[in-house]
Amino acid sequence: MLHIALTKGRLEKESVKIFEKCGYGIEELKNKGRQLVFKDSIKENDYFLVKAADCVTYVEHGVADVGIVGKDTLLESTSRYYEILDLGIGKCGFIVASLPDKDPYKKVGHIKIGTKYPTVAKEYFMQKGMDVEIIKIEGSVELTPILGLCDAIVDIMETGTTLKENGLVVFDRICDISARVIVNKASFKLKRKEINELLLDIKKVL
Amino acid sequence: MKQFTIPAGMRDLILGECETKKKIQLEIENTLDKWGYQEVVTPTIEYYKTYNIGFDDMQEEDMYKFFDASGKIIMLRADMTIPIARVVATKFKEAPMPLRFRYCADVFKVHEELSGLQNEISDCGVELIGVDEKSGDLEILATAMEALKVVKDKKCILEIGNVNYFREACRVLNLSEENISVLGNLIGKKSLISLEEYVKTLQLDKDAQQFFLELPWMSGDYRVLEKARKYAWNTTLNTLLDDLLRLYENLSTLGYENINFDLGKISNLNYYTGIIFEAFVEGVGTRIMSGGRYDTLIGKYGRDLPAVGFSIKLDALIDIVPAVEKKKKYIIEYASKDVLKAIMKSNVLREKAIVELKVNESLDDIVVKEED
Repeated sequence: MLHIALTKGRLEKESVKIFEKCGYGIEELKNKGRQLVFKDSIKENDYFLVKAADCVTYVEHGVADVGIVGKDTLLESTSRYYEILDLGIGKCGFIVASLPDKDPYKKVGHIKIGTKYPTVAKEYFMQKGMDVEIIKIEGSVELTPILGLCDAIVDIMETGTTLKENGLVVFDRICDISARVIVNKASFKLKRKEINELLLDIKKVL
Repeated sequence: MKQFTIPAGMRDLILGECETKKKIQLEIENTLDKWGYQEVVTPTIEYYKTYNIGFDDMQEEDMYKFFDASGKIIMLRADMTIPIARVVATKFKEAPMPLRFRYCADVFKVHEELSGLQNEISDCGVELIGVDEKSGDLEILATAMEALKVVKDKKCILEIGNVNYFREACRVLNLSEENISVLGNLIGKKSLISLEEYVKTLQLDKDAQQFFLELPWMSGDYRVLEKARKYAWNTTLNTLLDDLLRLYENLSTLGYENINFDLGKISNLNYYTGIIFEAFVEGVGTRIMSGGRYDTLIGKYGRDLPAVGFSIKLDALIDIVPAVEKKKKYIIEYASKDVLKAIMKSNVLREKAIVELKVNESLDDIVVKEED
């Protein structure tokens, strides 16, 4: 019996598609009403849909044995789980962007970076050997350089349309992001057979 | 209204939880006593310096730190192995070996807020000092298996690794300290995607690349030791696998089951020098026991001695060990004027059961009831 936590929203459809290709009984997940836990009609699994950051929490506590969640969320969290597989879905990347005339790498003086991902931003600039101030922004991060709150932003870029529409350009690509399979450490030992089967099934259809 | 709360990561234990925890503790201590372990109690507060010497790369932010009156940094103890290493090196300078010490103590570690993790946990464990791996490893693992019987019929797995397997392979391949540290971190966390990316950046031949990619998967029953043979490039690595296999055979002979191996187990505590092991039990999402060999740690405090030990995390077990059975209990009701008579009566009954006193002013005489 495996408990699987899926990330709601962007990744949901594509993760469900993978389980469908595996031949799992996920009818309930496809035609979901108000219920929160979905039983597999073929396999001995159940699934629940949660927000990305919660997916990590559920797996860390072992309430979920397996989770599917974006690398962006994993990079912001502490890693008390095993990160086993890249699903290759939900692909995008972390970038540093700003207005064309505001190259943060050329600025002399105090640099302010606006982001929803403070850990990622902090790690990146530390590796670059740059001392910057990170300002946490909850949404529409693109606004911060335009309004002059920050010198640049660290954000996720999928197609780049939002950046372009706001007149921002990419100065650096930090890393690629895609959805990952994470596994609870204790489950990995105690439910080895079931988890290996699941991983094999998924690998076959990727 | 004034509300009183407790600091982040702390917990109150009340009623049945306390009883269950105590029961688990007593059962484990009873087992450890039979193996000849003697209890050691050390202070809750230690000098920061003491820990900093023991853990080479201590995470400063994980510790509760304070200043003493003279401005020295002190901290709440983060484990019990370091204090015992300090005690052994400073108070048992000439003592004949081996020493067998056990402890049950609360240890402290700061986790990020709102993570649902406990910052104060009870560790119950042992340190076997002055015995090298040839005989000490089997003894400590057998003791661990006995102590783990506390989980009763719950499925429980002991998983053994040896930090030298990874280290020796890295040495053979001439990897730099930095490469080893990054690789160790990625393999230990089974962060497989980043591992693959990182291995590609190293100048390694195909065989070596394959080795590092497979290492996180070299976990499971004793057959992984055979799987690992193909990468045992020298006698040291082969001997290491032989030793693990012998441990397995010996533990099987002793009747212990559910022994697994993980050659990709690389502890984040860098004081381990040989076997490391963890136990997992059905129903608990984290390890319930961890331990290993640390032959150079006590030397840092002044006496060179091999040692091996483990600790069980009591708090993790409270929810899965059956609650303590209710004991027989009498209630004596009495009016205030009969208080002396009530206590005298209760003293008689108390020889065979729990007796609780309860005031009831409407009574003419004391009444004894049995609680159901």
